[in-house]
Amino acid sequence: MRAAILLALAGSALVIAAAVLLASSRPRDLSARARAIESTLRCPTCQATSVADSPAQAARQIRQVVEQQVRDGRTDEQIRGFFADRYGTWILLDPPTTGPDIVVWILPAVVVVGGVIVLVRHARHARQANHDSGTADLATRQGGPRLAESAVFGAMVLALLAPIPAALGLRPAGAPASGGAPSTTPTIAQLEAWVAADPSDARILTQLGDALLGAGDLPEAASRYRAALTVDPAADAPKLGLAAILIESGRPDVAVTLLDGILGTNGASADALFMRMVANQQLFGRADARVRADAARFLEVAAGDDVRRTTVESLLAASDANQSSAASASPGSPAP
Amino acid sequence: MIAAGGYAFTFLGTGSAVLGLIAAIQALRGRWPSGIAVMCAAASAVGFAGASVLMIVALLARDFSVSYVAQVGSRSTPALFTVSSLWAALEGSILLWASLLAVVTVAAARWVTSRPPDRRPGVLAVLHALLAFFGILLLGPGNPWRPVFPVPADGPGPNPLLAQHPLMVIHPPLLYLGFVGLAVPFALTVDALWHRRLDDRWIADASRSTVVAWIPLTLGLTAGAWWSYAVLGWGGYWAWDPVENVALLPWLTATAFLHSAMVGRRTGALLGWNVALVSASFLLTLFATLVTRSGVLQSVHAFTLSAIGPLLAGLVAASLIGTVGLAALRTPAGRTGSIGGIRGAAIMANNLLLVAVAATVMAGTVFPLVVEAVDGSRVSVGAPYFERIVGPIGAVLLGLMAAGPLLPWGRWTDRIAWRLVTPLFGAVVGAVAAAAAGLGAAGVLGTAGASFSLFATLLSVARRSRLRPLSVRRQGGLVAHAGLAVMALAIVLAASGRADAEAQLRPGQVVSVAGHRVEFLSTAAGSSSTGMTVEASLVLDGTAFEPGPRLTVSSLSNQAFATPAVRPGVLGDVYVALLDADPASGTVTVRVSTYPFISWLWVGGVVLALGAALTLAQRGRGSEAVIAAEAAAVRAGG
Amino acid sequence: MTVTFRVTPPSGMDRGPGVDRPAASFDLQTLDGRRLGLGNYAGRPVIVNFWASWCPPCREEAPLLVQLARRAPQGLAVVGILYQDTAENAQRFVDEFGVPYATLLDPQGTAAIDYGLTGIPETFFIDRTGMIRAHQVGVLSQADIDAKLRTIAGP
Repeated sequence: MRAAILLALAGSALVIAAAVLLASSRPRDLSARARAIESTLRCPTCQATSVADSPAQAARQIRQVVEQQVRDGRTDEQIRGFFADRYGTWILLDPPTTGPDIVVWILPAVVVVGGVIVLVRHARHARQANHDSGTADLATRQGGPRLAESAVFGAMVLALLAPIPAALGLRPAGAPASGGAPSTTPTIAQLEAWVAADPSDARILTQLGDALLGAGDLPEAASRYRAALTVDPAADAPKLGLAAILIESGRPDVAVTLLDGILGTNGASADALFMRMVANQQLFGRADARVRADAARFLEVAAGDDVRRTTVESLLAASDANQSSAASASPGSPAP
Repeated sequence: MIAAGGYAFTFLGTGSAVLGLIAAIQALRGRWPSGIAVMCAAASAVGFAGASVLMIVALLARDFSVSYVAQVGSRSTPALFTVSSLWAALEGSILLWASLLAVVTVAAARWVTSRPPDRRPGVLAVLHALLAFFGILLLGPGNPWRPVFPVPADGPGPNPLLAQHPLMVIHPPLLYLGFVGLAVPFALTVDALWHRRLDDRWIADASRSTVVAWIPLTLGLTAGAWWSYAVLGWGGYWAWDPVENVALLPWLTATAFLHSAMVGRRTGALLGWNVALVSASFLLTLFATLVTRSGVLQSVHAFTLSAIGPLLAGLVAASLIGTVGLAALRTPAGRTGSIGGIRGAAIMANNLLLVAVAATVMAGTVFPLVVEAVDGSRVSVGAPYFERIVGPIGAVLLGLMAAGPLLPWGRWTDRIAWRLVTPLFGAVVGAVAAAAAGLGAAGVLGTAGASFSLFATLLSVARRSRLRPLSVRRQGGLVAHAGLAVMALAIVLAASGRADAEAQLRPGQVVSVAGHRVEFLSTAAGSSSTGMTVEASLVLDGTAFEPGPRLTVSSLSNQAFATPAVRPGVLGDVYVALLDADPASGTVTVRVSTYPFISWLWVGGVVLALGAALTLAQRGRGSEAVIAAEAAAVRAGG
Repeated sequence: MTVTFRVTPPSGMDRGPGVDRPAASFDLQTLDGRRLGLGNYAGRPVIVNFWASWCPPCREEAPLLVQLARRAPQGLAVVGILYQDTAENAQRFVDEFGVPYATLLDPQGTAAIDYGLTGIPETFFIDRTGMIRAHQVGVLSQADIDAKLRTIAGP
């Protein structure tokens, strides 16, 4: 019986090997080679499809170049290098086997080897345990440590709650993103690197200013905002930042002038209205007509879920309450 | 008006879920009867299902004062795709998620009741917590009912790619049903861990409910692949796109669990491993929702644009921490014992490889996102990488799948070796046929492997029907294996046997590919709901090729979509994509491809799901005694 | 292939391995039938702008480029290269905006490939010595132009 099995094994192996040899001995024609190369190149204008598969025009043009180069007798590596040179290695669908990308190549092997080790140890352990007692040890772990369970529960609650403060400051999912502006909150270090790479980008400069302002570094933030304004004098965002700094550093009067300028061209800027309201409140108290006018206008123009609404509403309500006492405040006095 | 009603229903669903969570916890502590939590589940299902129905009504009524309708509706979208717009964007798909989860929760509550001890409190606590989370998303940051003012006269409509083919109508609900279905075995496992009751009934019910979820998941993945093939025009069905990859991950671990559960049921071993697989499957569905629904794929930087992304990330983190913590603290040491002879060893090898595939897919999907988030650079992990790693592992898995059912739950004997040698005949026939058909070396090897697998599976079916003619359930697994073997064969043959030609044609010119003649007659311009279209009329092998391939230039984005024309066949498809049409010269550029046997991929997917459904049939409550007896026999003998 | 990773700020910034390398030469036909290459501009700073009439951001930035080409500071030349568009549509665009600079036809996409184009608009800033000094993916603002012009100004 063993002999028959071995014979059958050897026989089928032989036939299959012969079939594979026959198949691989056939010369690969040029178009097959071109196709193989194309399937490793990313279509530059698509999401994730290869040049070989994509119906996009850009992919078709690259296919023509690949086919031409294959006909010209260039090697696969030369052709792939030609495109990597122009588009960067991003154009190659395979991650390189050097550098940090090596992680993705080794990981599957690590999982398999690690799994085998765990399984073998488990099997040995099981055999050992069978020798020793053969009884299940359900009881030994009963009454697991209470403290650990509470810690797990606490960590779960923390993980659920942690994103909420971040989430509250964000706009609802359906709202359109503002025109292509960087939309994450990068670190100050990252922003500084980007500014160093391109010191003339007003948006990044403003973001850096915002980040520095958030970190409490007012002078540095101010200098970034000013740099942003030098690049783009019409931008509102750096002016808002400067206004915030002025309010913070006790010059709400100057902030009001700046904000008047913004609101002169864009009267519906909720940010500017809110800030002018705050500045005027510091100057004249919350019952001042200018504060109330800005507050009312803010409530008109601000997004429905703007978190500042509550503040403004409570301010209006509070100032309604002592409206009479505030009536003596001089209305309409020009901003200094 | 509809918006207020919809919000009220959403509120009912969420409020009932929160109440249900409280009721379930009280029931766990023995204070309230568990029936209260069950009633809350029903109320929650009414709430979320009602909200979904109202949203569909609002979509059909083109009520653009509702923010979600203004976002995805349009007057020119046909009714079918207007209904399916419910899941065309973020908020709507969360609403669908919540509705399906609520319905699944009610079904689970009914299903677990019949068997004391009462596991409803634990199971409902988990499911209600999830429902409450998604409900809160819908009431707050993901509210689809926000008023829009002024009311727009028309909307942009859904993404044009999603409104072209009826497969897109069934694919997302099936996938979501599979996803939320996996919450049930997860909830059963959390309950079992909580009560330290990882017993025979837990493993039996967890695997049964996993099968129930696995069926729509499998069908959903197949429908997605088929849609990609029929609509996207690049001729493939699986691009290893992150959206596809993350949906595959839970399928891989759930498949692994379905097999390791067999070992668990027989020997009681592998407790921790089975807990890990069930939990991973469900956590991966949350991860898939996070990745596809947080905007992280458009750009890592879009992630924080909406509050939903961070909140979902919080849910994934909390679930992971809770599950790992609970499992670490409360998993009893496994009943020691063998893993079930060489059959068990083969199943463990299958598990290991399935997990390795999942790890590969996960790494390849997440790594570029991590790198981009850390230093802003773009790295490329594309199809060639996945194919190079998943291909060989898949081949070994295919071999194990073929051999597994032929192996005994005991020791190796020469008779078994003989059983394994017989299907080699299939491999030989496959290899010779593939070589004769002119396939390449990889194609010949792949065909040999897939035919070995198919032949071995068919032999197993024959053997089993001889042994136990009426046991349908015992054949279900083999039917599923046969489906997968057919899929493997289709994948290999379509990939290695394909032929392509790209040609620029004037009217009357012909391009020939693999014996098929495609003649170009003329083009016709028109407009569809999504934009301007050009359709080419072609003649394929003497008969009109209708509908012809189309090129649609979206009226909104100026992107061009090449909708292919496909003539399916038992032996292979002819697939024509219109790449370019030049109205001035009247010429078109077409790519004509032939894909041998590709239709069998969809057939195989359906057979795969059918096989799984068969395992559910013929196994009522009485079968538990059978399993217990079988398990006792194995333990006594092993 | 020394550049493995590219540091890319989120959007609209410099991208690609093209910066600080010699600009690829091209020799293409203009809309009005002349042949024109990068060599024709030897010794002058050049802005190469890839565009198409169907691309809304291209319409947005066209007036800025037209204005810049009219001013032509320090002998600056602007060259447009058409991307996946027909000559007729391009001519209409040129007439509409009064585009004073040459528009080159690139029917085979060779220039687009040589410049590693991933979409339009994309704009390359080339200094007098023929080196690419800055690169813009996406629409140009006046601030972008002013800043990137600085990188190719001077001798």
